[in-house]
Amino acid sequence: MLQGCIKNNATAQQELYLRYSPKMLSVCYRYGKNREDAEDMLQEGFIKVFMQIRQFQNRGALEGWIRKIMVHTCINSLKKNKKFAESVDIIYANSMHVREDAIPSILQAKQVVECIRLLPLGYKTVLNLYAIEGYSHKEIGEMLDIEESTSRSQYTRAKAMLEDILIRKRIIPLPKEKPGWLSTVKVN
Amino acid sequence: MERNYYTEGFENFLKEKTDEYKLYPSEKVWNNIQQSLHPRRKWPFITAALLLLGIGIGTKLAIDDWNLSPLTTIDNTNIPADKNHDLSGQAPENAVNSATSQQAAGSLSSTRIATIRPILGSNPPVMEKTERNPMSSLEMNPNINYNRAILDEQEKTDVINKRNFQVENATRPTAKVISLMNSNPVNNNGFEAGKENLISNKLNELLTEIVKVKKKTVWQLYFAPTVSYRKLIGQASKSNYSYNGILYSANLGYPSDVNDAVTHKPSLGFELGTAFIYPMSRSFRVKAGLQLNFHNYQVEAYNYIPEIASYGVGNYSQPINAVSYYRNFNGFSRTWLRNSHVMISVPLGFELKIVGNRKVSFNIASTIQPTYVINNQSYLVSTNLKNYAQEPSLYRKWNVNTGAEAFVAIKSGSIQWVIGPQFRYQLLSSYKDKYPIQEHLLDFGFKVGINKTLK
Repeated sequence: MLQGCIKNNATAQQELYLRYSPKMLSVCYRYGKNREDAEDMLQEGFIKVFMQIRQFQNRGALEGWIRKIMVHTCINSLKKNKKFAESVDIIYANSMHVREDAIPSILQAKQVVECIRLLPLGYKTVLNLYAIEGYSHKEIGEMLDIEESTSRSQYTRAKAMLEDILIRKRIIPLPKEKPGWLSTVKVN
Repeated sequence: MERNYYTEGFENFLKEKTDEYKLYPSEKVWNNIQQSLHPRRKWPFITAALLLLGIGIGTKLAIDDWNLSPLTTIDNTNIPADKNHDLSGQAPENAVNSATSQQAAGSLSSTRIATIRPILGSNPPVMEKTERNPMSSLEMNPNINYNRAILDEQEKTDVINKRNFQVENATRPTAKVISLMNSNPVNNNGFEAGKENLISNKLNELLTEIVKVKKKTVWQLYFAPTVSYRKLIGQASKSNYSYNGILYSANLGYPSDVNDAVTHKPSLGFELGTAFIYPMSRSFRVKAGLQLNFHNYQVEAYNYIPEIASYGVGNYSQPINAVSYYRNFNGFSRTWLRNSHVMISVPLGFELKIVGNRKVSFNIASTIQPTYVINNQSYLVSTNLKNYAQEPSLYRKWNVNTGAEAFVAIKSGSIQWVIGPQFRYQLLSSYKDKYPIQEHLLDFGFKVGINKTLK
């Protein structure tokens, strides 16, 4: 399949797309404003993947490489929005409130994703990059053109806000009762 | 990544949950990606459009050119009357000699008529009409009255009509007619002789013209709204198949014959074309042209999450896979997929007049049409008949169609209307041979066209 993609074979490209697009769309969905926005990011990301696939030289997992391209595509897309720069640079976001009734009551995985999406733009971007994608605050600072300390601060507040949402939605228990997520996480 | 990600529980929890979450993109995302990576070439459309335009312009120019034939371009208003150029002295002989030599070089042009006319004066000689014999109009009257002889538009039309009549009934040898012309009594008067020679030359020229256009090519322009449909031939794959570790399921629990599994309905299309028709005899004509067809039909399907649609399973070692967003059965919601083809063809064939006369006739025609498919937007049913997807690599670009029609031809003024039903059948499958299901397109249409004789 990889060789086919390198040769610009449409069938191989379709196979790769079919295999990775559902996961990658959920990645884009966490960054985008809505599903349409996420699909635009996905499209742009996959075009980059196919154009640059020669640069992937079997170092590491293909999925990780594609995911990295997707995340960068999402960030670049967000950076085109002027409001984004303001939102990630806000250190104090005390005025941010989330309406509880906006949280969807569906399956847990989707609930978590939807809860992340409820966060303010700057918060959720930093949280996505740090907690889910695994970038360091230094890397996030470079990606978003902000100070490392700003990224750290944004993440702390984003985490607190998300915990609050998850607790109120009873997706995770209160910290007093249990250490919360530790009881639900599978440790490999 | 300077951080040990998995040591932190909250982040681990978030990652695990977000990784579980999957979303399926809509079909347009892949279509846009594919379009971006493999842009469709637009030159076939441009070529086809230019070709049709070129033929149209060429035909128009050809018709205009023929309309400038000698007799039809005689126009007294465009030729300045010169009363000083009367028919006396040596001038007529010079003019006749000049005209004769030019005639030998080729057909008479309007310029040459303009050269001759001033010598004759503003009133050209008249050719008297007679109903006895079409050819008799060409005979000279030795007592031509130049003062009253003005060839008005009606007379010109009559002469042209007679010439056309002669074309269709030209059984009399030209040499005989010319001999007849030359046998006219010679007037001793030099002026009369010059006049007669001039007319004789013009008539000779006319007869040469008659011989030249005995078989006139007809240009045809036609349009036909069509009802498009298809005929499917093929069976579903019977056994499970594994390739590269992927299991391709067989058609278990579904109909085996493709015609039992597929629901489709016809849609409207059209045919637009132009042709040149050449008469081989009174009732048999051959034709060649250029034609554009838009073929269109709909297939019933059901929206579903993306699946692999596999083609060629069981017959070839490597199946062709495509992303399918539609199921043939048991999906979320019913939809109709539109399959369309745009084709350009070169119809080559014949027409046969069964019965009729010059005014009205009943004809049949048949053509064979080498065809190039400019655009194909088709959903193929997978080999196991479960899914629909687009797979351009299986589309056949070149094909052969055949056409049959019956029509009534009605003469109306200078054009002929052609009206009648037609049928078109695609001889080769729309898809390459490695796809086990054959599709033959059908079109039922009603043709309306006009024929214009190129004079």
